[in-house]
Amino acid sequence: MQENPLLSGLGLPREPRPLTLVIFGASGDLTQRKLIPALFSLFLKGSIPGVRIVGFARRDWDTAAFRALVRGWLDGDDVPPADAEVKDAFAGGLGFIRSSFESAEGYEEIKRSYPQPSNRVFYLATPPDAYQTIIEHIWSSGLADQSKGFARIIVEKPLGRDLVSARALNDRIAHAFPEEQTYRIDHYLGKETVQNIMVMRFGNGIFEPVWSNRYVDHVQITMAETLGVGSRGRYYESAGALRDMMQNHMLQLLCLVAMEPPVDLNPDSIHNEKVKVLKSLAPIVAATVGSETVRGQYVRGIVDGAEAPGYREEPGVAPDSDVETFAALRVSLRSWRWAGVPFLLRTGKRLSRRTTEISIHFKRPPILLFADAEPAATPPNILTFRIQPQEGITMSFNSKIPGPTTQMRTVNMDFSYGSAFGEDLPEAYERLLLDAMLGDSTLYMRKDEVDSAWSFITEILHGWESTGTPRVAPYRTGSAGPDEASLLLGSAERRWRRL
Amino acid sequence: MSAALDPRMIEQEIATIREREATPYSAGTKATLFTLIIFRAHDAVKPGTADPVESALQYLLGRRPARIITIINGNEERTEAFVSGRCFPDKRNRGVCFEEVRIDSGRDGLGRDPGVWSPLVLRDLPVYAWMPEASPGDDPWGPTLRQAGGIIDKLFVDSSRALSADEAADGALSFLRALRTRTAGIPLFADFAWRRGQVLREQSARAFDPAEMRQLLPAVTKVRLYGGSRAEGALFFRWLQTRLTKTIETEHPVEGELNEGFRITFFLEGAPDVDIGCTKGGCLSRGDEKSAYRFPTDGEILLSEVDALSRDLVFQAVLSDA
Repeated sequence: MQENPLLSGLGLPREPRPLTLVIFGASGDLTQRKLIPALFSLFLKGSIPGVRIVGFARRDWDTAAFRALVRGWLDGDDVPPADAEVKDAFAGGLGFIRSSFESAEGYEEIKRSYPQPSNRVFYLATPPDAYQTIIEHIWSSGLADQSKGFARIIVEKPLGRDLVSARALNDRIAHAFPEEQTYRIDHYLGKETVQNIMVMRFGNGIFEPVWSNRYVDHVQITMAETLGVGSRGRYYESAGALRDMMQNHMLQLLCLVAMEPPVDLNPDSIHNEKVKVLKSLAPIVAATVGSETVRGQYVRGIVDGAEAPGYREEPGVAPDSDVETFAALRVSLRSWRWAGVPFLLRTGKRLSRRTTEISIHFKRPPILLFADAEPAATPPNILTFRIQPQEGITMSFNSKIPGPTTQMRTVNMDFSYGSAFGEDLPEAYERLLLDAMLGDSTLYMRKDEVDSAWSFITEILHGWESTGTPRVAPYRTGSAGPDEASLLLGSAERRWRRL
Repeated sequence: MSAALDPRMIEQEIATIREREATPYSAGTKATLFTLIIFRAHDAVKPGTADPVESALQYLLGRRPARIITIINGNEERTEAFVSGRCFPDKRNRGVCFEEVRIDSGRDGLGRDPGVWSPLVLRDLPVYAWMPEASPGDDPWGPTLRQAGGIIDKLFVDSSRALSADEAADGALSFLRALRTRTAGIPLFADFAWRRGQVLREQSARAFDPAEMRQLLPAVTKVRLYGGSRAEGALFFRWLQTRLTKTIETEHPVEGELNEGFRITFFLEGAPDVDIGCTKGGCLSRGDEKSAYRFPTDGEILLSEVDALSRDLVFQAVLSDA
């Protein structure tokens, strides 16, 4: 009998095969704030019954100390509520290996102390400079051997700092792990509202017909933060906004908005469409960086009701630093669907409001029947995907003001996750971790996606470096970024959405 | 609060209650997602016993804002309507609310007429009907449901609660099949007993999933089930025969609540028996391999049913084979 006839149509819940999840960097901030709460939430839902979680770190702890530490974390505010016995049960099942990343003994210890389950997932929750060492030890110790069960690796951003280093990292990973066992995480893709972009576009019939240069004037993607670099100054000095946000999160969001409908929901079908978008991006080169990009750096000002220091005053930042904390791009896609439609991307720190959103700005009606030929009186329709906070979707359109005239004004049609469903949205890491354990890479980035994104971004970096333009414009903390960003709009009728 | 049967007055009452919820001290209420109409007998809840319908609704409250219309087949002279509301604040202090209308249908029969309650369903949103006490006997709601085909999107029943003690197990299947025929105008149909029995199907499918076990499936000659209701047992046996496309001897010597645990024994020709067991603590099959299993409550089943507007093809196949 080839197929199991009893399984057909049952719709069984997704549950990974028994596996050992090894978290490198188990003492770190990411493990505490994101990974453990996500794993505990999956544990509460009964989604990971056969998963053994093992921490790996150089801290002077043993298993009992690690369990006690995690047990304490489970009482934190960001962890799903549960009875003390349930928390004890989760913490009591954890394992720990004390080792430096450089010591081969630690990797032997994984094999010796946790031989079963032999399927293994390795999560690199470490600074990127440790990736190479860890991957090589995993390889040389035989832990990446796929013959006794699968071995997968999950890597966090930054996946390189330009095209060359990204390719080198990918080659290193590929040496130990085949592509289908490599999971490059971009936690934005795990957010419900980001996943809803595809559902909204391809699960409804009304949007695709107007989703093109025939009806869309331009698209804005904004990721604004009120926070500064904080304790990440040293890292940020070598990164900047373009590498830190644009290369990964923002280009991924752009892909989801601009991609063609995939033939099915297989991971490769979706990745293929995203890669096509990235390859269709018109390069921004030395000759065009001055007109197609803007960069800025925050100076002292007031945000969230308090005075905050400028970037150059932050710890770990050079007093004469020219690193951009704000970047905006005008991106063109060389595709039949999007030719002529600018995609305006902006991201920055210490801006007036924390918001991530995508807005589709439609063209005005061809004849302004109700506005006395005054375009400003007929605002364009805007469809906005609010990624965070207040996750939801808003459509703005024009409506007649009651009375004897045909005067109109803009009104909103609003869907908020918070105004419909009663449950809290699951954390992105919860979905992403479960997917990796299940072997579903749909919400992860494929090698050629990372490669194509870096290819586009590296041209801009080279352009900035070789021409020194545009200048890194100072902007006041608590503002909407440098005024120069408005130059990218390309039309007096366009405005950046108010933050 | 009692209201006349005039739908405009009922809507006005609901609007007043909603406004009351949106006080300066709360962030308002959430948008209603669907209408649920519950058809009940006036003596459905015995004094001193818990009402399973109320327990299920309590689970839904706080998770899905909805309009709940309960129509009670009462024995008072005249039909009356009562309007109320209840909200459960979420983390952001927004109310997840039920707008509730109770219609006590009197001997005048008005409340059973869709003309009375159909103007109260929310247009353009799914409309579900739930008959928690539906049974094979006299069906006071038969004419109502026949007329309501164009209004209701999905009907829920619970065949576990439909059979009386002296009815044969096969009665569950004939009851479901007859009800389905009578309500053919309602596009979708669901049975809580079928959903509860998912654990039986899941555990059986898992037990025979390894290749060496799969090849034994044609050798299954008899299945014995301990636990579960008669309806759950009958649906399970019918499903098995449908999937294996052959007749199998079946036994259900001990009945019980599925969430108290169960045991299934598959008798195979020329091979050892296969035993599957689940308790509240989890399921055991093939040696000492234990997996966690959470038996869903009626509230969880109700939530999953109101979230799904699609056909369960396996259930449909089981019914059409019956």
